[in-house]
Amino acid sequence: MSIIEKALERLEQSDIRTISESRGPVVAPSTFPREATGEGLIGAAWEAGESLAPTVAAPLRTSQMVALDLKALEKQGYLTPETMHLPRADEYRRIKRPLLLNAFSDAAKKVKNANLVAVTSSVAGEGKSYTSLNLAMSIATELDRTVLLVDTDVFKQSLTKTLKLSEHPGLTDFLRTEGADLADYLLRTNVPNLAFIPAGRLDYQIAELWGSGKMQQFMDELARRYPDRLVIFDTPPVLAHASTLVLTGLVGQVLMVVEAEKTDQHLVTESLRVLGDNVRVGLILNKSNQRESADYGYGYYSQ
Amino acid sequence: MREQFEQLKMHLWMVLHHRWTALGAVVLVCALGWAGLEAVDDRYQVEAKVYLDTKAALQPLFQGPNGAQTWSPQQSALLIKRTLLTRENIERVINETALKMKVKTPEGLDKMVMSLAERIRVKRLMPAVDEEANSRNDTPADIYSISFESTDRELALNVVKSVLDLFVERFSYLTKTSTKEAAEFLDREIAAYARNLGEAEERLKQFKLDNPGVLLGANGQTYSQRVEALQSELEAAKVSLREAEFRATALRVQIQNMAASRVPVSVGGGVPGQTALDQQIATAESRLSELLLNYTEQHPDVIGLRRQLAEMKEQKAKGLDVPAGGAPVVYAPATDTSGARLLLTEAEARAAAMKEQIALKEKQLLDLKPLAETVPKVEAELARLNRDYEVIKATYAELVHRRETISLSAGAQSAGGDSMFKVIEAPRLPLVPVGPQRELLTTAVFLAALALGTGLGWMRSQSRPTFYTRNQLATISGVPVLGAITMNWSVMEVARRQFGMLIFGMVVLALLAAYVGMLMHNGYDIKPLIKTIVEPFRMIQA
Ligand SMILES: Nc1ncnc2c1ncn2[C@@H]1O[C@H](COP(=O)(O)OP(=O)(O)OP(=O)(O)O)[C@@H](O)[C@H]1O
Ligand SMILES: [Mg+2]
Repeated sequence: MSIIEKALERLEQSDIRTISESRGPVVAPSTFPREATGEGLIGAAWEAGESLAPTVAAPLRTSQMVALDLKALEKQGYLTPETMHLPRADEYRRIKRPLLLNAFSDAAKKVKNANLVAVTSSVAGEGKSYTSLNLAMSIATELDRTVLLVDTDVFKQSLTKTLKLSEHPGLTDFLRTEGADLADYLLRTNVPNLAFIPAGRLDYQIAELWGSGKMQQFMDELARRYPDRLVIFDTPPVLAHASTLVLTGLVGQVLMVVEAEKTDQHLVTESLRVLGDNVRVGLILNKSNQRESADYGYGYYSQ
Repeated sequence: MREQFEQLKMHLWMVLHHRWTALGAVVLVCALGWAGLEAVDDRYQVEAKVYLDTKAALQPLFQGPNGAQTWSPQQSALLIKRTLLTRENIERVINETALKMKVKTPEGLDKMVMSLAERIRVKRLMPAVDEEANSRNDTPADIYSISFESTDRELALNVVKSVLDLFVERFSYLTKTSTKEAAEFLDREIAAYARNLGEAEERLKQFKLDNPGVLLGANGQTYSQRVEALQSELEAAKVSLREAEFRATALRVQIQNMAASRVPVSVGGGVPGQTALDQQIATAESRLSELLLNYTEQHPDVIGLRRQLAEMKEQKAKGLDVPAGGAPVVYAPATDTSGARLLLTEAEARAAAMKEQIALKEKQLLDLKPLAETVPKVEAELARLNRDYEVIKATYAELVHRRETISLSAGAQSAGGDSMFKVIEAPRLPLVPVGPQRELLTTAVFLAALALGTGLGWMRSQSRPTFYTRNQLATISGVPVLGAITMNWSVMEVARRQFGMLIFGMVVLALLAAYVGMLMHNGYDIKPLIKTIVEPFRMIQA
């Protein structure tokens, strides 16, 4: 732990410097030796693929490191590695099992982009962002998995705002910048195994952006390059933004959050219909007031 | 079982989700219901009870004295009610009570009569538990209840009183004490009426005696009838007179003709020394003496005959006579005229008699004329006297009949000692209302409100159904559910929720308090309840 903390301190310093030094679409890459970040599998680096950064000769590029205010997150009700002992952490544990199974089992190899998971819902406020972050935190605690959280809700950018990373350029910037290096956009965090890509500048042609070849390439790269990594996309509501449907078409799994006691049944059915049969959808009942233990003996998790 | 339990729990939760709606509905319904209940007036019931031997009461009315029919309590109550509550009787009840004020039109009266026929209740309470009565009669004597309900208790009282009066009137003959009284009363009445009847009879007789000229009517003829009869008799007499005169004239002509063709003959058949006139006189005289045997001197025929005789004798004295036989030349009529002459005499006598009659009738008519004014008055008076007499006679007959009836029923009940009709409980002004049943209705309103509120909450949850459980979500969507995440309430939210619950609980408590308050307000005595609740605690303490 002490090693990591020290490393983090250094990272923070460099982070501040980076931001103050340059303002613009392309951030001067700060290079960290792999060793400097400790043993963390993901925290080490993001290597830009050849196709994504053809102009860059393949030197080892490492991404920027950011520190999340975990205490503040905790206060807002989010899970952090420190609070994984809480009963509600179990609820995410139970959800991530099938999710990881779908993503990494042998059977999953046949499914395209099985490790890309879009978290969506029918309408606003059902808890997509909340669930995305908590799920990401939970998976980050896995020993042999890494997780990349991508804020694709360009309109609200709630994750980016929650993590206080609005200053950083994000996915839309990456996609729109000629010859951009993803390593410059990806942010490593003080949570080991958790990386984050902010939303980026608001763009009203999001559907087209998601539908672009570059996006396609980006997604394929994400899926292929790191087979132990799960990528979680926080998206806008299905019924509110057509762009979401483009995105769900690019991922291997869709998690649909349903707010208990609030969301109309027919809205959920409608969303499922809109998503179509080609996506693998799993539902999450959020903000439930019924204790899980009532649901057929799943209660053994929560002591 | 578990499935059902889950379902029930879910629905309960769904309703609870709309608890404010539900509570609002409950409060509203309670408020309206209880206010409505307050607005409803108290209903009072007045009841009178009479003891009435069903058999004794109904048998004379519905079958002969030997009938053995028995009636069920319902039947007998209905029969008695029908007997009492005839339309006239109900109208009488209306007129005797304040109901009269409410009737404005004939249709209103109709309606009132119908509604009263419904509302006045006659019920047979039970067979008398009086063993003695049971052993005495095969049919147990019964208690009948007459009752009436109204928001106006004075009115209810008066209606029942009025109906009870009807009861008493109708069945008082079954009362033993009153039988004796009634008999005495009737006896007195009968005596009085007998006197009245005598007097009326006397008056009538006296009146007839006082007006003899007017009231010839031994055959009961009135003045105008008599005048008419006289006039028609007069007419008839005149016709007869004309006939007789015509006949006489015709006969005279015939005799003259015969006399003109007379031939001399020797009179063979004639009585010597006697003329035809002599013969005629003799015949008339014998006829006269014959008549006098039957009639008086005043009879018109007698008078006529006498006049004829006198005429003939005059003729004979004048020497107009013709000898009947002998003499130098006797001119005998070609035909014998004596028969015709006799007929002529008769016709003339009849004419004379008719003249007499006409004179008499005319005189009588003339006598009647001045009575034309007084007669109708006298006749009207006579009619009145006659009517009085008839009425008194009928009443007298009725009284005598009733006296006999009483004797009979007195005879019928002579076996028993008690009377078969008695007013057990006179109607009294009620102090406690019988309705509406406020305690019950307060509770009913409360329960209905609860049901309605719950129903409304449930309906709202159904109108826009959402997901409550993970199973429900999986079942309805048909998509696998990876898990459920419970609501992670923040401290603030928890506080707010708790505050909301507190308020909710307080409103519920207030509602309960209001319910108990309403119950007590509507006459529920809560003390025993409190006692039963508190008692166990006291026992523990002790
Ligand atoms: N399980 C939960 N327990 C408590 N609060 C929750 C839970 N899930 C979500 N929330 C809260 O609900 C609010 C909405 O959640 P969130 O922003 O994640 O929804 P969203 O679906 O991302 O909405 P949007 O469509 O606006 O992005 C947030 O304040 C969040 O903290
Ligand atoms: Mg969001």
